[in-house]
Amino acid sequence: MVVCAVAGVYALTQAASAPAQEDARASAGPEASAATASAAATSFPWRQAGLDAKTAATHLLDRFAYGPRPGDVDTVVAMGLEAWLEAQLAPVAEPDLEQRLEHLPSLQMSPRQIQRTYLSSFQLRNMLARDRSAADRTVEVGAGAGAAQDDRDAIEGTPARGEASDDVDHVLLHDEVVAWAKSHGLRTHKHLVAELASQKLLRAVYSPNQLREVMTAFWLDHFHVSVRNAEVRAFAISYDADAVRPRALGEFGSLLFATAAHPAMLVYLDNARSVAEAAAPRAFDPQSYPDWTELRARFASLADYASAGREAAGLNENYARELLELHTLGVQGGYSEQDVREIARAFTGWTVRSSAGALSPYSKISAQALARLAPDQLQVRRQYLFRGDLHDAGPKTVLGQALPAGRGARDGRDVLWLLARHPSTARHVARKLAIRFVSDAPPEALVDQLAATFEATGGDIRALLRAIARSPHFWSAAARGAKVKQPFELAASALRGLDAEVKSPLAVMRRVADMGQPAYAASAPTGFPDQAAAWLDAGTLLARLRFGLDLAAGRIQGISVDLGRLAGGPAPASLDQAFAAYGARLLPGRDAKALQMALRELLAAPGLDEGLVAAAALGSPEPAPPGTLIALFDFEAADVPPQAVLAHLAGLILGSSEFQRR
Amino acid sequence: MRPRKPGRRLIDRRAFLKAGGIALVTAGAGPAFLGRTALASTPVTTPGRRKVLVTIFQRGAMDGLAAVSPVGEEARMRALRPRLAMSAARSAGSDGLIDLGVGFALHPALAPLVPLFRDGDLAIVHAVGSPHATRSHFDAQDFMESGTPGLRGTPDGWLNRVAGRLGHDASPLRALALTPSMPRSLAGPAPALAVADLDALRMPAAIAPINGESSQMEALYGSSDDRVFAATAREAAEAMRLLARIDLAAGERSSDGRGYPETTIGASLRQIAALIKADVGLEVAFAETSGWDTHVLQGTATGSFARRAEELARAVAAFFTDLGSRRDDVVLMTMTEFGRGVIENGSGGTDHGHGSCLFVVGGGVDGGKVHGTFPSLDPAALTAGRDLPVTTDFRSVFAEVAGHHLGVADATAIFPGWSGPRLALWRSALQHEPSAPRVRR
Repeated sequence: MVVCAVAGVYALTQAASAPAQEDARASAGPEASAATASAAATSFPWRQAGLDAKTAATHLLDRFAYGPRPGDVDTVVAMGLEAWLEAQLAPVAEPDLEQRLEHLPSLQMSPRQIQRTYLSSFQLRNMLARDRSAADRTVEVGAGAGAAQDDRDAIEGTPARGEASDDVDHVLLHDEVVAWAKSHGLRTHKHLVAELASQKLLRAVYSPNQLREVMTAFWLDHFHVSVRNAEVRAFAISYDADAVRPRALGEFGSLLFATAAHPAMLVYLDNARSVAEAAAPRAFDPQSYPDWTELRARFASLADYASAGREAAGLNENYARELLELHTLGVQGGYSEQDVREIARAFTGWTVRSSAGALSPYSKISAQALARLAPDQLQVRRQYLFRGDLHDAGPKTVLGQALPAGRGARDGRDVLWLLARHPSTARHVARKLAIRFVSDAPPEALVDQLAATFEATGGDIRALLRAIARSPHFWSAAARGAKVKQPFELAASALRGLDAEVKSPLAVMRRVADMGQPAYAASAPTGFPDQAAAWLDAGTLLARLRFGLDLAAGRIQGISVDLGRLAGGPAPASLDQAFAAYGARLLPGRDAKALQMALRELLAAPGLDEGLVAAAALGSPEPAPPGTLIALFDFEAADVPPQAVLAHLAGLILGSSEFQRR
Repeated sequence: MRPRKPGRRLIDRRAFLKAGGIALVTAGAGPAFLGRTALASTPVTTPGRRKVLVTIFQRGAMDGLAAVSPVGEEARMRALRPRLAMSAARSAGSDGLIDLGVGFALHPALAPLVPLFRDGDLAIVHAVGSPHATRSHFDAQDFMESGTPGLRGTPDGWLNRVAGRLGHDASPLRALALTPSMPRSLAGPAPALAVADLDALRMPAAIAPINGESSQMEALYGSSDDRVFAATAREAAEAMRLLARIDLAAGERSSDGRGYPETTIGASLRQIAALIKADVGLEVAFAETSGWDTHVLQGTATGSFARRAEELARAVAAFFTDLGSRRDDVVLMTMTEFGRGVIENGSGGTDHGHGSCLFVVGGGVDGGKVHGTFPSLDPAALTAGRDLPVTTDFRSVFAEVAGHHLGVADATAIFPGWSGPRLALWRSALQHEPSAPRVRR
């Protein structure tokens, strides 16, 4: 995996602005590990909630993992729930998963390589048109300058119709563009987004570090960037893999810094284009730098995002506002419009080096040399760029705290420190975690407790997760099964529960999009919602039911399910036997008697099997894989339910409200 | 479980194979699970002709000043928005604003709305918005959709409260959102349905197992004590059965060539029109469009705002053409959470502001006018020195529309805690047809 700018920036910012904190953390080392040791000893209060070990382990796996695979519940019970959580908090190497990810080339590329290899359809259409214009001048390529930003046809899903073609010029058909790209060794944004979605599913299904995946998804929603924005796409893989995942179980402040300085965020929330007001003092005083003339020449040749092709002057408040409202304090966290404005001023100059100006003379100057030249006034770390000449150098006041004039990039870093340790941030993050792990309307006492943990540990995410698992609220009857699975969680947990083989994740991710959750493409900066009301509606419930039925029946491409192996013995001789076998796998530790009654009635209808065969042949949204029909007809024994019925049964279990919740 | 008879099944299988599947299923001799309808379904009568309110939420906060510009403030607009302001002068040509002849000018991308305005069917309300000052998209949308600015705890949405007070028998498709999840506006105790695309509730006609599937769904979820799933399944199943009985496709086919854009909002309005034409009892519809959060390179006659505006205008114009004789029964209203800064930002866009404008279209509306009180753009008069002040509370418009068009006049029930005046938007019975405004173009 590519190591990106961000880790470096964080290290840099920490070292520069908060040596005191660094020292404090270093000296806290031994105590911290002592705390870890005692952590494992503290047992989770599931017995007090009246649970047996299996039920408790299932609940834990439903929340701290993407659901159990066959055998997982027994494993967790055997090792102890507390020990399992501690193991999850210390991620291990993932060689098997890495092997499954090998066929996704973009995962091995830097954002810059991605920008050169994966082009938007807008870019490709232009290139193709240029390629042809000599031969045929009638080819027209439309869409204005903003088309790249609005080019959404890379995104599969929800807006299944319409939205995708919002700004697409149809003069050149997509297939033609794709073929041309292929012949030139180029790939499209559609491929890029597909690879991004694919790795997400493969990790969720196969990663041994389940909790890290769960938390990565949580933070990706918290610090949301969307691939609906074409300019974000090249950075999205690095954002996921370099900025968020390595810190998903670390410290909140570290995540905050990593996201703030990452090109994906700088582009998505427009800070990359936010520049000091025309009248504001600029941090750069050219006269104070002996090398200024030379530097200026280099500046000019460095095409960067903020000033590319346009007059740059003036604030863009988008990031400042969402930083306060979504990432840290929360909308009721106690900030004013003035604070938004001041924070926007503090972040002026935080921008992105565009690929267009690649490797201008800057590439020859080391970061250290730059820092000597203009400490805190000019920084380049891969595609993160701080430009003092675009920064508002005047004094600022943020949340009552004065930021003296002329400190360049330190302004933004100080703001992040201030916000990361603010009590409102503690509360905001505590509530979101409680909603994620416990229930849609978590008890205030739990939120209080988590907020206190956040404050006491400086936002230590591991400490917060332990606190959740140790809370009686987590194990209460009110919490168990209280969460409706998000579509992605539903898909991942179904694949895990069925022990399915994922040969190609794309068809599943298309279904996830149909169920309302196109990966990395939530349309609001809030990320995907985490409450049931957002996920259960007429259309989506039907899509969720059909997903389970199609998955179990082998009607989703790229996925193979072996129901015989799942049953774990001889083929079930009755529906009750089949229910017992599949129910034990898919709903371990759940009371499924009512469901069994309902399914018995549903499946008892005479002629059901033929109906299923017909539906399989005709109603499948995707063509049945070759051989499916024949396999369905293999059954000849009198009293054994045919395969189609068994698959239907498994599908209905996946569709049941029992499985749809966690 | 009933004993199974392998012999019979074998024969059926052969017959099935021989018949090629489709024949068997559609012949009605088909599998029982596909035919359980009669047992499980509740009878649905075709509900008939109703008044319909169609609402469109423009998510992201539409720049009301870019959509509808005050002609008399052109010089000031140019000073405050050097990169965005446009001219209504004739010399500006087709890239210029469209002078509506009433002191305001439309963005050129909204040209498809001009005939509706000229014919007196389109009323514009300007400087409308929420009395609450929030600039958070999330909060402002929440306040507008719940109908209770400043109150976060309101459990239901204003459109749901309207739907719950319509009286008469409800169709399963009375209140419908063509969105992937239930919008805050329609959430609440009155039955309402959300689906991104009606096709999700329809199956290929070749097998028509809709009734079977809907019954299976009810049986699966209805038997559990999970009320959320049970209620959703019941609503979906009823809608599926209703949709199975009507020929929606006919309505959709007849909308070909009406000029709907191939976008989400185009498809949503097209499906809403098909439902209205099919008389399924739709009374409150909700659709949405996104992309209005124009922080960057908003553009002038072309650009990101223009693309959104054109798409919306084309969809609305196509919708009213498509409705044909039913247009008198329909009122369409747009809404957006707040407006955008009067002063442009540093990236050729606009940041979050306060007042915006909205459109009310339909039979009987006092159209061809810009309603409300438009304030001065003198920087000294702006909210916080930078935003268009709100002079009309959105509730005074929403209440008027619900009261006048749907007959739900109890404004305090729809907007708890509010007792403001309704903004008159309907022509009185005595009033003559309006004289056509002199629209340039």
